[in-house]
Amino acid sequence: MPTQKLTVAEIQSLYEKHAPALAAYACCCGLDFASAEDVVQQVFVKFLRPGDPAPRSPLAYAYRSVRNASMNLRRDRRHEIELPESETWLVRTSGKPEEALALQQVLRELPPEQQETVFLRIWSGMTLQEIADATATPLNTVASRYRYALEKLRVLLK
Amino acid sequence: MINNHDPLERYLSEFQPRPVRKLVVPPQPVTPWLRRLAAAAVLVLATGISVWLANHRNTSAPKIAIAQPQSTAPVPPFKELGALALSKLAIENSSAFDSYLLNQSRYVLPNPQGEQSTLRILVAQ
Repeated sequence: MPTQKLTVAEIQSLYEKHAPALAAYACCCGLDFASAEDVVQQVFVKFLRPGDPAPRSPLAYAYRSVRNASMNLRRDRRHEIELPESETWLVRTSGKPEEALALQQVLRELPPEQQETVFLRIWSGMTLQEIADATATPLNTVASRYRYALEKLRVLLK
Repeated sequence: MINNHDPLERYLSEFQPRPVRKLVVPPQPVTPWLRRLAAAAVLVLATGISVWLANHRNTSAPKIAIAQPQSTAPVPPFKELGALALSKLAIENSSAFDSYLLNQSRYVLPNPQGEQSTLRILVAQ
């Protein structure tokens, strides 16, 4: 359901807070970091278009848009040769870069809904209720997705 | 970012997404009300120019003198009189006879092909 249009300042604030997590999410969907940045930029520039109404939950909309754009881009580039995964889109102040690469690899193995839930919960800092509201999904479903995602990550990270 | 007791969540939150470049805000397009205002201004300007041009043409165009047909005296209907009547008219009223001849000359053209036509006589002389 569209709501009142966001101002440029609000969009910039939303970008500064969530763009890194969104770019990481795009990388998780299979893009290289530069393309992920481009996709996130495009999604936020779309918010600024005068004709388009603002989505009910801009953040959930941004995650869905990033996912769709990433999938489309990957489909368009399916004939290109993929380089081996060596780029990190998650960073850790203490620890080895290999750990980040391992976590990235594991996150990619989650279904898109579980990936989205983990990103919104861990790196966008939303509560499960906020995720449920943002994604228009029942709270129980969101909680299940998150629980399944953590279980899978726990097994894969062992 | 989150504060919970699950070791896995704590582990995940130790990682941070890589920073991204700043959002490049494209220049905002002209607002719709400004566009409407510009369209109205153009319309008013175009109408004004066309009205001014129309008036200017009317005032500066040279007036064409239309030749009015000169009023002529009403020509009385021609009534042909016989030789006897003409002779009588010439004797009794010479002015009426003159006006009759003048009137007749308006209707009867000289015949140059006749035996006694004026042109033949003039040529012969």
